[in-house]
Amino acid sequence: MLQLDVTARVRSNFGKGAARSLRRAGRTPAVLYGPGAEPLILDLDSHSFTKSLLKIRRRNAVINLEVEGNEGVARRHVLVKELQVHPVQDSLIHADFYEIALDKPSVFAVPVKYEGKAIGVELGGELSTPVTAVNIEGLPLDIPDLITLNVTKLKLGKKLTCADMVIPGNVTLLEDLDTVCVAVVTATIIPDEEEEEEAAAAEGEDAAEGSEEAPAAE
Amino acid sequence: MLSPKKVKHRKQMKGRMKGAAYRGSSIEFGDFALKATECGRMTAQQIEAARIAINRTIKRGGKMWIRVFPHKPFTKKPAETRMGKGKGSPEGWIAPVKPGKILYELTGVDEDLAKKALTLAGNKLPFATKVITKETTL
Repeated sequence: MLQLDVTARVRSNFGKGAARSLRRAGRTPAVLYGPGAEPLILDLDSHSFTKSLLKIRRRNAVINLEVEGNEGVARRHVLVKELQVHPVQDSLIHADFYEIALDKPSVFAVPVKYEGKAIGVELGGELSTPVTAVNIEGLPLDIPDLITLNVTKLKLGKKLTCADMVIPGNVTLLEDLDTVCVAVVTATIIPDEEEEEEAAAAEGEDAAEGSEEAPAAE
Repeated sequence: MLSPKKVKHRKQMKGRMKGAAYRGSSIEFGDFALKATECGRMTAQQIEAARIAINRTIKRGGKMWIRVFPHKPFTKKPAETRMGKGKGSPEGWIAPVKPGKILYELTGVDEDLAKKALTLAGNKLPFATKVITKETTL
C-alpha cells in the first residue's frame, strides 16, 4: 500500500469561527480518531496536504502522521476517512483521519484494473465490467494498490471471475469466487440521434427537389 | 431534447436557488468536466446545444456523460394577454443549476481537445462555468 508522510499540529481552538480563520491562514482543520484513543483536533498546511492527496488520488494509503503537540512529536498511522471539499473552489475544507494498527489485519476495498483489449471486443463485442473494486483483508502494508486482470484472451461470450484474480499470499480475498468480474457481451447498437436527423433532413431535401421537378415534368 | 416522460403535476412553482450544489459536484465517470460556478436555469435546448457543441468538437471520439436533466416545467402566458386569469401553459423544461454542479463529463480525448469542447459548451449556457480535470481535483 502507498505510504505518505504528513505533519500536523494539535490545536486548542475549535468551532466555526476558529476553523474559518485557520483556512484564511492557509491551514486545514482536521480530526484524528480511532479505536481506543481519544479524538484529537488538528490542523495541517493546506498546500502541502493537497499536493500529497493529489498524489494518492483517493486510493488506499497509510499516512504517517507526525503530530506536534505539547508533549512533543508523536507518530501515528492513519487512513483518510473523509475529505470535505468546497463544491465550487475544489479546495479542502476538512479532513478526517482514522487511526489504524499496522500489525492488525483490516478490510480494504482495492480497485480492479482491466488490462488489454479483449479478442471479443475486436470482433464487435462489448466489455462489461460489473466489478470495479474487491474487498481484501490483510495487514495494511501488505494490501496491494491495485488488482490487475488481463482480458486480452477473452472471446465473445466468455467471462473472468474473482477466482481468476492473482492475489498475494499474505492477504485474503473476501469475495465470492464465482462472482463475474468481466465479460464480453454482444454489443447493443443504439442509433445516433444526429445521424437520424441528418438522414431525415437529406430525405426531406430529396423529397422537396422531387416535388419541384414533378410539375415541370407535367 | 430531454424532457420527463411522465410528471405528477403539469405546472410547478418557480422556486429559488440558494447555496451550492454539494451533490453532483465531483467528477464520477470521466477525466474532464464542465462545472457551474454560478446558479441559473439550464433549459432543455441549452443542454442539447452544449451537447452538440461537444460532440462536433470531439468528432465522436471519446465518451460523454450529461449530468443534468430538465425535470422542472416552466410556463408562459400568451402574448398580448392581460394579467390574471390563472397561470400560463407549460412552455418547456429546465434544470435548476447551483454553483458547483457538474454538467458534462468527458473521457477518451486528449486534454486540449476536451478543454476546447467543454469551453465551447460553456459558452452556450446562461451562467459562468469552468473546466476541471480529474487529476487536479481532490
